Amino acid sequence: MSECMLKLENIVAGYGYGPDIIKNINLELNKGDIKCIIGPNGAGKSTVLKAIAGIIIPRNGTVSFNSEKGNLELSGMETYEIMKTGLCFIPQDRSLFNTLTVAENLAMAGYTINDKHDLRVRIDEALDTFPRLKERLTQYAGTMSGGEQQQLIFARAIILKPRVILIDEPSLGLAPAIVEQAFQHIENIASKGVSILLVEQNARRGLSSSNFGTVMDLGEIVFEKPANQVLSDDRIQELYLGKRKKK
Amino acid sequence: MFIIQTIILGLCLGFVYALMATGLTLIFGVMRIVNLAHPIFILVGAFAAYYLFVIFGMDPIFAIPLCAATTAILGAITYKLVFEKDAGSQTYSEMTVLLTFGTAMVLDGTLSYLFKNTQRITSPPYATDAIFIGDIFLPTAQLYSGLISIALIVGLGLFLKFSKLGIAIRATSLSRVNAELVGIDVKFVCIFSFVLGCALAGAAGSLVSFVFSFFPAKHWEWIAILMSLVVLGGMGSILGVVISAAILSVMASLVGAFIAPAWSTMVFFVALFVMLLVKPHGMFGKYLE
Repeated sequence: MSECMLKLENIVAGYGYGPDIIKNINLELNKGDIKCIIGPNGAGKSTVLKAIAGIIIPRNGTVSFNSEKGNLELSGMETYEIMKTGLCFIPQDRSLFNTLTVAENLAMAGYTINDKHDLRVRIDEALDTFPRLKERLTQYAGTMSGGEQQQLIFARAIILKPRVILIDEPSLGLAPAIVEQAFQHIENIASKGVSILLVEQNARRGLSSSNFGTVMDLGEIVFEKPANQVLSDDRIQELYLGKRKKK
Repeated sequence: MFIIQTIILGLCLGFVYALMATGLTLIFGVMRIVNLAHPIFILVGAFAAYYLFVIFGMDPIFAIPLCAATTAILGAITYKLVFEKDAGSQTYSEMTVLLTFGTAMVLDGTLSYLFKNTQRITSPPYATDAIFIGDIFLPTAQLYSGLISIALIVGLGLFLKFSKLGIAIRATSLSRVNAELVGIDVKFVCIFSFVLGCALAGAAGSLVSFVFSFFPAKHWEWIAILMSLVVLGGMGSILGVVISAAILSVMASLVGAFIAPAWSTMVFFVALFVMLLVKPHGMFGKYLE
């Protein structure tokens, strides 16, 4: 039984004074696992990630995170505090600072690291992983190609050496070749023991890189299975993956 | 010669205007607060400089840190009382226009009650002095205030460009959510920027105190000019404010010298009018989300 990194119990959340978008979400993420949440539009997939990251505050339930300093209860904490605990969130819109340079973006990724030497080393490591960025250090992040921006995002994520990364729709708005690269990065990062919780509209692609698939509909988890079984489940294929019924 | 002199004096005055507007644009850039109370903070700084000079004989240039500290403290109190509660509300930016207008009224009333609406000016020895370079006549008050203003703005620019907190301020002004996602304490950055903006107003006030004669209601005149500079430069852009202040102030000086002084302020408003028609987001501004 591998170590549980992130555990959601009975999470209920919604926006403003609106209705509950997600209801009684129970979810566990183990060390080194990639878990992909799939489901139709409006199922509440992204809301689950936002509730974990503290962008919206859960109305009920608990999020416990196995941080370096032991078990932490995340619900109720501010986003910037959660980001200091070793959890990283990559939202849909990629979260780069477009008119800051690549170097400044990397420096900001390490905002919570106070040891300057340590930060330098981590940035160098990230640049060794993504050598393309080395040539772009003085360029504005927003002027780079989609693929380079993608590299910068993952470089920023590994600088923090997070234990868990939440990724919202990594394939959104990217060319197919770059989507492939993004999933390569995700698999590489996970192979180093980082747990990844992924939300992906492109369910087939998302699941093929994952160990586990979680299917959501109408704000609830319908069921969870190892990823390859989700893909081969007839009912799920019909419901969510758009496979034609045999005549 | 006369033209060169007019241009140099226009530039000096332009840099003072730029310093006056820097805090305004910084606060807008980071917090989306349209701080109509900004010029009254400048006046508070000017009054502080005036009384430090009258009572203690303190040179207004050396009084800059004290004046900046005064408005910084006042800024922190104002922020706590007026803005903190509503931060994050959806109509925050619109609300701040009314809130800062109210703040300006309250402070204006307080200053008028305390000091009466009479004209004042600090008069250190250099305020009435001038230097000659060849045929060019340069009043030292304007020269010093211009040079110190540009030095302070450059200092601010270096801070924003290179320091960790400075980059965090720029990052927050680009996106609050993304700033939180890298672990930046956005609330702290907001308060810090507001207080820094107010401190800049105080510093500008100290310089203004020996360049312009001032009285509590003077800030209504300034807000119009400062807003035109901020809009022209692009809301939130410090470089934009410096450039627009330099250009407009030189133009205003030329208009004042060759047409009539009464027409010189018109330059700012014509520029504002044209800019809003032609390029509403200003020279260096971004389209806001």
